[in-house]
Formats: sequence, structure tokens, C-alpha cells
Amino acid sequence: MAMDESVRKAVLAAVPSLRAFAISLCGNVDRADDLVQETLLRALANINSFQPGTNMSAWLFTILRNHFRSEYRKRRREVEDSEGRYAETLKTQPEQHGQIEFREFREALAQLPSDQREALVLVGASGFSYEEAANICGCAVGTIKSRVNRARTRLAELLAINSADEFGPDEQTRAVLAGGERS
Amino acid sequence: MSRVSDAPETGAQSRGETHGAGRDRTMNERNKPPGQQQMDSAATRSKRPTTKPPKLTREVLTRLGQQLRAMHDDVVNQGVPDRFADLVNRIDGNGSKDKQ
Repeated sequence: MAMDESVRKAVLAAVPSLRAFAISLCGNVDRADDLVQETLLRALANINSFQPGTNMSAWLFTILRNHFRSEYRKRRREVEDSEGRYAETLKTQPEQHGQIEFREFREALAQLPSDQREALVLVGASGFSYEEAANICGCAVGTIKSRVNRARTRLAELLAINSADEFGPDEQTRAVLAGGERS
Repeated sequence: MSRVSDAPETGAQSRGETHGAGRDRTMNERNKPPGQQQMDSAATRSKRPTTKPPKLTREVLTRLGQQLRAMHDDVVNQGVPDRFADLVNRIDGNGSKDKQ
């Protein structure tokens, strides 16, 4: 199958942030990479339905998100107590992969309802606009805004309870801010 | 004479306050080993204001945004794993990996 070189490059360029999104959804790197793999296979099989000049990243995110949703719904039907098992996966995964610095944050993120989590990650981490996030999730812009706001409020509560002393601007935050201003 | 009638009231009030504070301390410290009593109550006092649910202040939003992006960047900095590069290149038809 022939594929335009620019399209191939656009797909590859989107992979890193697609993985980051998948990990946020699954809470498990191995499962996330399987999800990315399945997404790429689907995307490449349907590459002709991609409209050149539109946002490749948003297109791939939409495929991944829809695939995750349908798989997740299937799993919920198949596995009793899927919520409990899912939460356990989320809790054990980051330490296995040595991302201890994000453990607390990931655990808090994992406690959010999935629609709030995906909205917050799309806007706050993946760098999509509210409009793009709404397209990816197939909902209204106002819905995304409200989900992001509820997600932020809940996260702030969870993180303040779990690490009251660390929350708020501290040395680390100032260092990150200073770093951000330089670049 | 009015002073005389005031005096017992003031005395009762101050005794009441002392007694109340003393009773609270006894209840709080009853089950704690000696030596930790003062540290514990100091820690409890200093944490009390920060355990309230925070408002979405600029600082909180900044902090959340940094955490989200740091988590995202940590994955993005890993680049494209070989399995995905191979997959995309194979289907592209550039390589001969299909045929091998």
C-alpha cells in the first residue's frame, strides 16, 4: 500500500503524544502500547479517509479514543468488578515503570470519571483546544469545558488531601516556571 | 460592694476556662506516649488550614497544568518506540519487511 511520505511522517510525529494520551486513559504502559498499535493499524487501513490538510494528530486521537471506549465497555461487561481491577492496575503500574514522581498525580487522575479524565488530558496535557477536544470526544465545547473544570476541582481536592504540604507554589514549581520562561 | 459580687463570677469564669482547656488536653493526650504530645498537637494545628478543599486559584491551576504536562512530556520524550516506527514504515511500503 502506497502512502504519501508527508502522511507517514505526520503519523509518526503523532505517536509520542498518542502514547501519552493512551497511558493516561489506560493507566498501564503495556496496555496503552497495545492500544496505540491497534489505533495505528486501524488508521493505516483507513488512511484514505484522512483528509489531507486536516489535523493528523486529532484524527488519530479520535480513533484511539473511540477504540478505547468500545474496548473498555466490552471489558466492563466481561469482567465483574472491572472498576476495582482497573483501579488496581492504575495503582501498581507507575511504580513498575519507575515513574514514582508522577505516582501520586496518576493515582489522583485515575480516580476521576473517565470522561473528565480524557477531557482534562486532551486540553491540559495533549495541547488541544476546547474545540478540538470536543471534536475528538464527539460532544459540545461547553461539555468539554465543564468536564475539564470539574476534573481540575476534583484533582485539586485529591492532591491537597494526599499531599497538603507539597501542593501550591514551592521550590520545584518555581524551578519549572523559571525553566518554562527560558524556553 | 459591687466589686465583691463581680469577683466570684470572674473567678468562676476563669476556673471554667482552665478546667475546659485542661479537660481537652487530657482527652487528646490520653493514648499518646509522653514526649510526642506537644509535637502532635503542633502538627495538627499547622495542618488544619491546608486540609480544606482548595479553590481553583491561579496557583492551583498552574500546578495542575505543570503536573499534567510533566507527565505527558515524560512519555513524549521517549520518542517513537521501534515497534511503531517499524509498523508505520512497513505499511508505507518503503521497506521490504513484509516480504522477509
